[in-house]
Amino acid sequence: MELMNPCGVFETKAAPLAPRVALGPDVTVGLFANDKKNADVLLDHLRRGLAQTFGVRQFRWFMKEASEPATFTDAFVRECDAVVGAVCD
Amino acid sequence: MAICTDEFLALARAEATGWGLPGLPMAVVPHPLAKRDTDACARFAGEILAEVAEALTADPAALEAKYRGRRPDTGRRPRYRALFDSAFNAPDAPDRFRGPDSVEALNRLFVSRGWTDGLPVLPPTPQRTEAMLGGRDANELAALVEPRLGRATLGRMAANAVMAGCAADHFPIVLAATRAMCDPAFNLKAIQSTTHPCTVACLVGGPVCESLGINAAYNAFGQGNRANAAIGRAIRLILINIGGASPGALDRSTMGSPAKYTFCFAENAAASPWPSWHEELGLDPGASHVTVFGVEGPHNVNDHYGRTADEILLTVAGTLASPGANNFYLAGQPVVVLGPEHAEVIAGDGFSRADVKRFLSAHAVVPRDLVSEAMLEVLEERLPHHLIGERGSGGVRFVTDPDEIIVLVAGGAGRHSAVLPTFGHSTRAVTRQVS
Repeated sequence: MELMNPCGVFETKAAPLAPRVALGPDVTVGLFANDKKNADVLLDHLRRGLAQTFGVRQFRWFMKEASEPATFTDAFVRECDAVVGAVCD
Repeated sequence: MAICTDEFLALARAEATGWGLPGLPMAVVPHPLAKRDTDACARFAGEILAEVAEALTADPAALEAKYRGRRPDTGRRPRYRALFDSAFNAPDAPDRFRGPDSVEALNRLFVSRGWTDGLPVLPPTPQRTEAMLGGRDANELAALVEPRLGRATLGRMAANAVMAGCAADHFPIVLAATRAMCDPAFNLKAIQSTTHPCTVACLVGGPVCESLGINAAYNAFGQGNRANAAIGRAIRLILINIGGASPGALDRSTMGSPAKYTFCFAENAAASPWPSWHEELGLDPGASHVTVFGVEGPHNVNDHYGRTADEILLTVAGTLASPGANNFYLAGQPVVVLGPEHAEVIAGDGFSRADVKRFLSAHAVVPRDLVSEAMLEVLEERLPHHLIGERGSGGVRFVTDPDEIIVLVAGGAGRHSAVLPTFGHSTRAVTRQVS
């Protein structure tokens, strides 16, 4: 029999990846944790690795509650050259 | 770039795709991270450090190509196919297709594609869908449904309403509820994809309740009434088929809930001692409205012995004060639904709805010995004003702002009420007029 498609067309926006950076002392890396347990611990170990191995010296933290939409503050966006987010569980 | 656990990679990848970033670099660590010790977290960090560094520094086009190809293995998990490989969600997907002629074969097909709630559906034929639309424009866009940002056109919504067993005059309720749940204040993305068992509960108020026979009395939350059952089910099918919330794929509820099949009810305005909740909001009583709540299934409150408002409300407060509810550490708008017999006693003692809220706010206290040390630390950080005494020695209040409690009246005869904890403060009740 003939049937109607019940599925919604998934909206697809085209968002290019942000420009990449050269890791070093002049770069500020944002560390974004979603408040799930150990996301911040994992990121903190990554912070140490990025500092020791790649010479990154400047980091900014952004934490949000897991159930809330992630909306970075203007300052976080302005100050960070790149962001690593851990959305763990 | 993002880091997630392997168990949640499909969810992360689907959301990134929905936001136009199908090639977003993602490093994966073993699930569950939450129960690992610091040494394990350090080891995982070491294992992904080089990948993280590459993702921050390499050519974006090369990264995009590399990660776009890293889709979850849909072969092992058929429900993932609808998220990543379905031609029926594509921009050029057909509005119509040729399906099996038998209802049995059609249902097997729909189940295999993850298009149902598990129960048989009515075939969404063009004739039935046209009748459901009632002359409305099938291409009109009502909303984008999270988390996959599926386009809820009236035509696609009508097909789901047909499948759910709705009559055509139920469709305006489904439409209003869909618009309400897609309001950003409702936070549908989190409601759909959380491990919490919350669902979209649909409260209907106004003249349409009588004209459509929406049940507000005996079994208001239960089975046996077509309008309640079909409207709530249509909302669930829209959440699955348009929002993409396939159980186990994007709907990550750990336990799930029978309330996720269908949850639609009306307030028992005829048996309520107070104006309806929608009237209390200042809405036109001559119009009909739908309110959506992001709630768990009902927790019953049995009090056959309370003689006064205080006695009954103390039992309600005791049920409300649940240390396992999200509202306990995330606040929000818990919903209390008083049965008419409880409401009659409470109002008979001179309590207004506002008095009920104040009483519940003051008396819904979780005893300190039911609060773990770990939870106490969370509460000290997030809701220190909920702690009574030094480190909560006098207990922990469930709600501190009475206005956050929503009080409704529904149900039939009998000395029962119900509590509906919500997902927490990140979801708000949202109301839309039925048109």
